[in-house]
Amino acid sequence: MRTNTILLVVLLGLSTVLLAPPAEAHHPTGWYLASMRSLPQTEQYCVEDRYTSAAHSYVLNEVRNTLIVENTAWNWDLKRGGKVDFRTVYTPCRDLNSGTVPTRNEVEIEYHVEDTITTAPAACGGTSCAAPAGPSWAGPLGRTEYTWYNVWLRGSLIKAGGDTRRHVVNHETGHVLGLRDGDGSCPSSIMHPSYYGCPGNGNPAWPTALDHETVNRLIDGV
Amino acid sequence: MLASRVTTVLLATAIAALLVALAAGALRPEPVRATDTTALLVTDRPGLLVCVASLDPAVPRGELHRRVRDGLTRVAGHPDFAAAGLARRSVEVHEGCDSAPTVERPEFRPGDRLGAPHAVDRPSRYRLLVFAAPAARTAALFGGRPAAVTAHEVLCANGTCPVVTSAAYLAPAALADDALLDRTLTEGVGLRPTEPRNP
Repeated sequence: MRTNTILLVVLLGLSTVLLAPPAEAHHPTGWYLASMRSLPQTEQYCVEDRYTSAAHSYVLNEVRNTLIVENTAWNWDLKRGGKVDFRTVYTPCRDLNSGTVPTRNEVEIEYHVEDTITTAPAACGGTSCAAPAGPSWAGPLGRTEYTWYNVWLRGSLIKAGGDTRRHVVNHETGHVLGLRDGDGSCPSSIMHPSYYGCPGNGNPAWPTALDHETVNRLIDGV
Repeated sequence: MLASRVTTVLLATAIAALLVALAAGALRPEPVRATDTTALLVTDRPGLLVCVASLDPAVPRGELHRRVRDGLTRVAGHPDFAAAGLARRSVEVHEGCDSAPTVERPEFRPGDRLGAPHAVDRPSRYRLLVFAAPAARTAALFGGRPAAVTAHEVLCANGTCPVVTSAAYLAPAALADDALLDRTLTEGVGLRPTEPRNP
């Protein structure tokens, strides 16, 4: 009987180890914009308003205020020795082409503000999301980096203004800089908000110290 | 005595449950994930597979296959080719592709650099699809250029939809020009162009 009990305990222990899901890192990363590691190269962005009732100047200002103007201590801009350096392109993305300055291919990030998310991959499920394109292997780092990012922002969240607008723009820009969504581990991060099962985090308006630290590590290649 | 029998039954049940659970786990296909740690871009591609298809009746399939195969042989000399995971197995070029060109989708807009990629759960086994297209068509689609690389498939997870499969479109002029063909294939498999060598 004692042998059986010992065997049972060992089996239960084994099953716990063998059947448990793999542990996840606390701040998953990947798929970042190549230009963010390059000092001379800025991050040019344009804003597309084709599928929103709001004027281009309005949505552009809302995105620009979040990225560059407001809260310069905590926004994403001009950190890491200026490697992340957002530059506003005032022309709607769709009007850029091979004859404009800059050309559309020279603009690293396109923010598409859409009242109903229309042009994003269907698998985004109609919510704000981001798609890196132009995969390019970075030899010294042993990773694929991406040349461009398309970001979709729900029009209602931009028009809501204030911290709602700040959260969605900064969260999606976190993807551009290589941060992935919450995995349930709930560190203090704009990528782990309440709607990803982290009620204690709320929906932060600005990236946290951990977010900045994680992006710094990616830029340093560690 | 009773306690001993209960323990034995519990033990047998536990062994059976463990075996069933392990078998189920082993039989369940591993979910395919996007990855940025190789240029193959997804976890289940064992090596570099490329397919070719002609949308241009003037370009015979055999000729397209030969040109792309020769071009990839040259691209395999790229200094990052092996480190990027592209040399895990010998490169294969197949005639015929398993998904349609995205430029034929109604949502494809010339000038939109993301194009209209297919959003998939299981990406193509081909990392790169190469389509020969008439010159007038590539010019209209890609701002006058005879060759271009587009996003062909995205795999969405965790709020991000990275491109995991690319397509290259080649007009006859690009197919006939080794330098342009090699540059397009290099970009198509996710490597950076190397500087041209001095003669």
